[in-house]
Amino acid sequence: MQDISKYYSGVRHKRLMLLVGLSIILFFVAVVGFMVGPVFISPGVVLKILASQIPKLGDGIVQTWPNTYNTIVLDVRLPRVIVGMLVGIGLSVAGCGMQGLFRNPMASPYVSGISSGGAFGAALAVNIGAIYYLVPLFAFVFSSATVFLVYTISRVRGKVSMETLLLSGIAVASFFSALVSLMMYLSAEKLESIVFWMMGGFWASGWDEVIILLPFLVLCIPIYVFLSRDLNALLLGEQDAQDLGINVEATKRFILVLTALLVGACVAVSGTIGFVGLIIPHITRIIVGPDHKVLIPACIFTGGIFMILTDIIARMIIQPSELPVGIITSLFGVPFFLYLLRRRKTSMGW
Amino acid sequence: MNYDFKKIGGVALVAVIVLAAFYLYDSGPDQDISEALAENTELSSLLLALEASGLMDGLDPGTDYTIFAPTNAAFTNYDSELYGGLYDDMGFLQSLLSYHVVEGKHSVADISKMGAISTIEGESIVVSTSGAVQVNGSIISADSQMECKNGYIIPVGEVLIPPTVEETYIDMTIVDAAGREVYIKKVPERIVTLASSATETLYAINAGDLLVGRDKYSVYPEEAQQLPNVGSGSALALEETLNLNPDLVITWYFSTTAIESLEQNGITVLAIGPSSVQGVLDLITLFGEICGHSADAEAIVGDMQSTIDNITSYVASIPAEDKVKVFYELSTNFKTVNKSTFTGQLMEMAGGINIAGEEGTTYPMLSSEWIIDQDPDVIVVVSYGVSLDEVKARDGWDSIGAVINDKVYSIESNLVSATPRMVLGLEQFAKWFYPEYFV
Repeated sequence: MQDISKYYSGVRHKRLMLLVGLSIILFFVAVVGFMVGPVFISPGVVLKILASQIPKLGDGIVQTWPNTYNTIVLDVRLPRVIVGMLVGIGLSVAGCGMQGLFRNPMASPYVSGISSGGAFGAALAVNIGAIYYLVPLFAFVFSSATVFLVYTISRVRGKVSMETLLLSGIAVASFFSALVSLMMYLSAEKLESIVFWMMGGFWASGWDEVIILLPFLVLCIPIYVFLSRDLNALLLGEQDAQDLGINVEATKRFILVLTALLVGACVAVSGTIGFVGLIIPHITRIIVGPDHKVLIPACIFTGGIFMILTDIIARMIIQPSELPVGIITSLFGVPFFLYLLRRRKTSMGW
Repeated sequence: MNYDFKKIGGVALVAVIVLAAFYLYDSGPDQDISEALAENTELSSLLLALEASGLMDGLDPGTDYTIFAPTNAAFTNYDSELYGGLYDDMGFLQSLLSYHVVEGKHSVADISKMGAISTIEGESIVVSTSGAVQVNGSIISADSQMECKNGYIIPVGEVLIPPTVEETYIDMTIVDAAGREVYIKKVPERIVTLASSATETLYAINAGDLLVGRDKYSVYPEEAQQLPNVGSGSALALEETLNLNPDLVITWYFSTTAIESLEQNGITVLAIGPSSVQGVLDLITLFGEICGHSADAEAIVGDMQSTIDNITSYVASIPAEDKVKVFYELSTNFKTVNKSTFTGQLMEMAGGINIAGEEGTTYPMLSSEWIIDQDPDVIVVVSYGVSLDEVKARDGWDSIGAVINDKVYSIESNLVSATPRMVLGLEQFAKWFYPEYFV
């Protein structure tokens, strides 16, 4: 008995160290995110600029750099790195939840047609000439509504079969994709801004986006952490989870609502960035194992790290021009994922 | 011997008179035009044509005529492939031959003193005397002219083509923007345009009446919207297009499927894709030639050129370090154009330094921070892009000179693309860039 508790405290210690390690990496990646870009700013200057914003502490700092550096670090890079981090967290945690729910390695936050719904909402807003801040609102409303639509379609006599949910998600996604194509065809001039929603990126992210995203993450992420016990139970199969006293249908609904809110908000600010929600949970699972109690917190860090890193690449690779970050996430993320997959064929938990 | 000198003198005088009379009679014409033609084996084709067309009988016997007579060799060289066979269309043959007939009796010497002679067809023949005497570029000579009782026959080495016919049969081979060789025989009468730039240009040179159809993007000028809409170059309603029975379809060079399917249906397709200011001017000139509206085209090109010259000559006087830095934004945030684009060229022409001019991609998407660092003096946003308020409100953009000095403008995309309206765009740019000079 003592051995077991000793073993578990060892595991807990290891897990804690892992999370601390990941948070340190996240911090350094963020600092690099503040430093690099078409305009290089040395880490010392970055730290001084950041410190100068802190009351009292900042008073003693003498500015030895051009004013534009302040603008670039505080108004451009800081919100951008934060938005990147938040979207990375949102997508990877939501992906983690969906994979746990579906017990299917193919599941991603986008399976229920959410990204197509979001793109459709954005395209609709652009097409009817809505004021610019309505575009993310439309994207959010439609991506969330899509999840509920898919859920309603696949619910038969109060129960939702996972296969039906997956399939109807794919069907609804195709339907919305067709509508988006139709609108792109009809609105030649506005095509480009629709394409933005389909490729995704952070080039237009500012403080407004941080303000939009933050409440959703603050609200949803703790619930995911709280739900990790239910997700763990679901790994055994729906029947077993039920036997363990888990309200399976309620958990499904919960996860879907959370996905709708979280991913809807992410899609609204950054468009549909592919693969993050699919591969980051997998990569994290390969590193920390299938236990959601550690998997979900770890996903917060890995998602943030991955997104900031890929965004750095996106703005560095052909600077001063940028690539949509969705291209980078797939281009760099997928080979890395495949490498890990080949190297460590450990249990995924299902 | 007593010679009667008076008698001899009388006889001699009579003899001289008779001889002189004979001489005079001999040198005077004793044939009329038709007889002279019939006798000359070199002009048998002409006689045949004149008789077949009924023109010979139509000539007034009491009037003198001068006939420019194409030789048999000239008829052999007549371009029947272009104009159709001589005897295919009697009306055409009659007017063609009428163009060779002039009222009055004019020798080559008389003609050489005239600048132009009007024919009974109605149009004039141009006379030039630089070197040999020429009519419409064909040499005529007094040595071969034949004087008849009722006029002159003056052989020419070519069949003379009336100007209106020559304008209609343009006989042009154009290497188009898709690298294809396009042969255009006649001025088209039924044009379908699948390129808005072409539609605008055709209306600009007053050739809009030749249009019978358009693509969905051809909405300027407003009259164009009255035309049947056949979709677009990338999604062409082929049947509707064929139904319009066009003799020329103008399309963008990249609409390869449309080009192919139209060609398979035997329709002449001209691909365009002007990528420079000069390219637009050249296209206007080309359309002028194709549509028989060269004068209109020249007038427009002249106007445009003088506006361009006016702006570029001032711009040339601005030292490089005093030129304004410009950021141009398309409909996606921070997405702009490099110098290879049409808009990029106009910006440069108007004296702006495009901050993304040297970028490798045609439509680069810049980092916000880099734009802030470049600190453009003027920002121009395409009219269907983001609102100017949104641009000004972007995080960190309040430090950009253009935002501080309120030099953020919106421009209609049609003014900065390859159409005759590009000079309006150019002028607008110049006014925004150098308001103190271009008022």
